[in-house]
Amino acid sequence: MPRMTSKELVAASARPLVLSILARGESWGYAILRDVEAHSGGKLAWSEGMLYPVLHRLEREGLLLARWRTGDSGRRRKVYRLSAKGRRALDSERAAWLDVHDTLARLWDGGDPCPSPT
Amino acid sequence: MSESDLNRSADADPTRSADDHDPYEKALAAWRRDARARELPRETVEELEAHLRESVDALVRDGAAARLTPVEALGVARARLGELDGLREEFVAADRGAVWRGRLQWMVTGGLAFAAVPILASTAGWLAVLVGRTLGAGDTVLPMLYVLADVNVLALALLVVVAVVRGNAGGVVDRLDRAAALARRLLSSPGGVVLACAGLVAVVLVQRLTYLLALPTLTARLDAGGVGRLLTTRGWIDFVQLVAVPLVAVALLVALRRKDDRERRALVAE
Repeated sequence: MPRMTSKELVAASARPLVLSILARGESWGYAILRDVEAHSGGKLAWSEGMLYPVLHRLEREGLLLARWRTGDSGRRRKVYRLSAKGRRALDSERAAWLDVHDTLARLWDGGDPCPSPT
Repeated sequence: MSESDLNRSADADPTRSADDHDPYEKALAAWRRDARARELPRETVEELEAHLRESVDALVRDGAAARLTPVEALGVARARLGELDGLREEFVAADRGAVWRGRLQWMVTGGLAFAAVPILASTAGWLAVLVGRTLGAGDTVLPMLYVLADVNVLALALLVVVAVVRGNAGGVVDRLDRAAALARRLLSSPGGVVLACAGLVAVVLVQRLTYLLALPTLTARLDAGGVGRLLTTRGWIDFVQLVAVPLVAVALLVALRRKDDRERRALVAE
């Protein structure tokens, strides 16, 4: 049984996760979910439907651009990609999450506090 | 997801079938109706349905040993997607204005259709009178012809409503839904609204023309189409309705659109 991350943490990380996956190239809902699964080793359990409101919200905020594309099978998919604004949002998300990560890592490693910036 | 994965999932779809009696397609259609009944926008339902179809494909492929049928796989895919009520809540929380924007568009679509139906019915009535007169029908028959044609068009409109209420006989709801989606797409841009209003005005003009042609004498035509009619209270009410209803519709939709357009321009400017 894989370790499950709490609901709140999963919800909070949905945004940077989606932005990070789309930074690697355009994709669609189902593929994004499979990507999260693959990259988290199944540790991040998403209720699949939860992704779509997140995608729509990011699209409305102008971070994602979406269009309908017909695949070779004739099946239509709504494909998302990152906008310039989305790229900038990812940069700031990344900085914020790295800050959290660094702080926790220092605390858990028993290391010294960060030298205060001069 | 790598390029080869992308190609693999774009493979031919083994479960899609044009057959309406296919239990899998039937189950999907039922799910679609449930989703639409919860006011999820059509585009969202389409996106979620694409997700379900893709999940079912993968489940049937990967679960070959378990001999999962598409209908069984659909149950699993639906459970993983989540309950529709919960989904609806998440979508509403993500975009509070969307539900009301959708409702307003329906109201405008309905309002325009409501304005057009009596005019179309009246046109049919006058057309019947015109044909009747040409064929030499007398003055007692002509009013009957008018009422017959007029009532028939109204009855047709009523039948359409009844068909919608009674259920999806012959896929009529799906077809109407597609038509409504087209109308809504048209009405979601100011240009489209102007086009729809122009269409409504054209319908009115055709009705007036048929009416005038159906009148027996030149004097009667001048009387009915003349300036005198506009000066009556009823004439003004007609005029205001004809101009004000489309104008209000345009104003509402332009106001709704303005915010979206601003956001889009900001995006393009980047």
